[in-house]
Amino acid sequence: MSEYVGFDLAFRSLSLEAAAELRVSSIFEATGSGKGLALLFDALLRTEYAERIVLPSGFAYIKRKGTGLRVAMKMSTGNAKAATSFAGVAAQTTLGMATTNYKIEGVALSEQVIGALLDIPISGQLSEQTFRGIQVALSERLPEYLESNEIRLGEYSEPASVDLDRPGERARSINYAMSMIARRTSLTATLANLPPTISRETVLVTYARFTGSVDTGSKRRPSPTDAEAANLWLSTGSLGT
Amino acid sequence: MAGEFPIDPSLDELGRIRALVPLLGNAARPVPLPALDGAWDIDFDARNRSSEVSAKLGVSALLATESRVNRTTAIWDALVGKRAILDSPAPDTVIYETFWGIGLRILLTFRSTDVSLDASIAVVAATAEVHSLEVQYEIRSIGLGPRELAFILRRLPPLGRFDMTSYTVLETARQSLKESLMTGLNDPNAAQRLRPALIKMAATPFTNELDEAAEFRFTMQGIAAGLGLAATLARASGNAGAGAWKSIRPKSVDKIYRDLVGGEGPPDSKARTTARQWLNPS
Repeated sequence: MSEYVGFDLAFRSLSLEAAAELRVSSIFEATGSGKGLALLFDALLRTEYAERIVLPSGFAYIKRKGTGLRVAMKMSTGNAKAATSFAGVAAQTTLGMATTNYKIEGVALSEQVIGALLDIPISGQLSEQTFRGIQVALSERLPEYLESNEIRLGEYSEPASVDLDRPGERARSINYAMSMIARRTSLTATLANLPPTISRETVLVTYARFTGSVDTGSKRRPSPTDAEAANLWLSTGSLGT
Repeated sequence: MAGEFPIDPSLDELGRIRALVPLLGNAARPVPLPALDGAWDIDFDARNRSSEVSAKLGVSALLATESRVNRTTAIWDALVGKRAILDSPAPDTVIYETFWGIGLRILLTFRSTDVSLDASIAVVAATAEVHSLEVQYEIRSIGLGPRELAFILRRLPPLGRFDMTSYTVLETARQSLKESLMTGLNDPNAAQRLRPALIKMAATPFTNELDEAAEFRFTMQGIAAGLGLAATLARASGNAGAGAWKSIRPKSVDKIYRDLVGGEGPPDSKARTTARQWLNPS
């Protein structure tokens, strides 16, 4: 028991392509790169063991040892927004904005144990009823099981952060936004004339930090103080603080 | 000094902080846990970090739905343990303080443009409640086992949204955890459960996005002007005016320069044109 160093209640989202490549659940196998999202909710105890593995495709995962439940969901997004919580997935599915299939997988738990934790099928389509069933399994049955049984260890994989970062491209977009702020160009005008190589989102964030506004319809020009700060950054790399 | 960073407490077989090994190598060692004397330190703070840095530290999970550029992760700790501080750090020491603890870590990730970067957890909850802010919400524990996971699963809303209700439940759970964790640490085996959860570094291996962009701009200006690497680096030390380009790191400039020019220069006309276009995109 002392091997456990902690637990995770984590909600993750990744592309279907990444989920299939990383084999985080059989529900994503043969998914291809179709439209939609792969979602994982983990309630897992873990040990210190961790091994980072990078696949030839560039995707990476961490092999861990632990025990618990993983709810894997394949969400066909349609008009849905990117979900950031299990409740958000359920809400969009209930409203018909998305179709979501789920599969409950155990780590170091036998199918018999998983069956005993669930009042619902181990896999199927997410609905109000199955969402409630998953909630009961996680907040009532799993705690009972953890307290009254000897826990064994099994291996599982966790999607790892890969270096998707492109600092040069981001820096270029920040540089562009700063030069526009220095000229007191409104956010609306800047976005309307954005060169194709410049990231709209980065420009938006940079304006938000300097002018305090993310109103893309606003024609308000950056203040002289904001322009002065941007000019200082352009010529010295600092904001003078 | 570069500030305090929550980290993934996982250590590799050499006792190094796993998430920092790619950035710091052998310097990724926590300050060793001092002898325990029964007096405990508490860390119940919230710290906001860019999600990109938070992911690099192994603290927050992967969120692939949107670019990480516009994401902030609030790391809300409820930890008890022992703070270890180096008395006389060697000149090349990077990690000079480590908080060894057990407890709960709550992670809230949201769009940076929706909430002020230094917003408190209560403000994030209130914004989520009033303006339907989407918050990715995770709970992680450090040094806790099955009994505590069962406790948390029963009381907390792991599947729910983060709003004022879940904020209140979480805050109550955090406070009640403080007493039980401190009692638990009186167990003679307590030291075995403590994990490195927070570190302070003399020099951060991360830059903020503005400083990083400044390094690119500075280097591109040098290349566009036809300067060699040495002349570009010399610009940073003094003759551009007091305080100018003080945030740039020579090592980063060196890398950016070599990536574009292919050596120490001077740059050819193609590299100069690329640098000019970088500075003035059209």
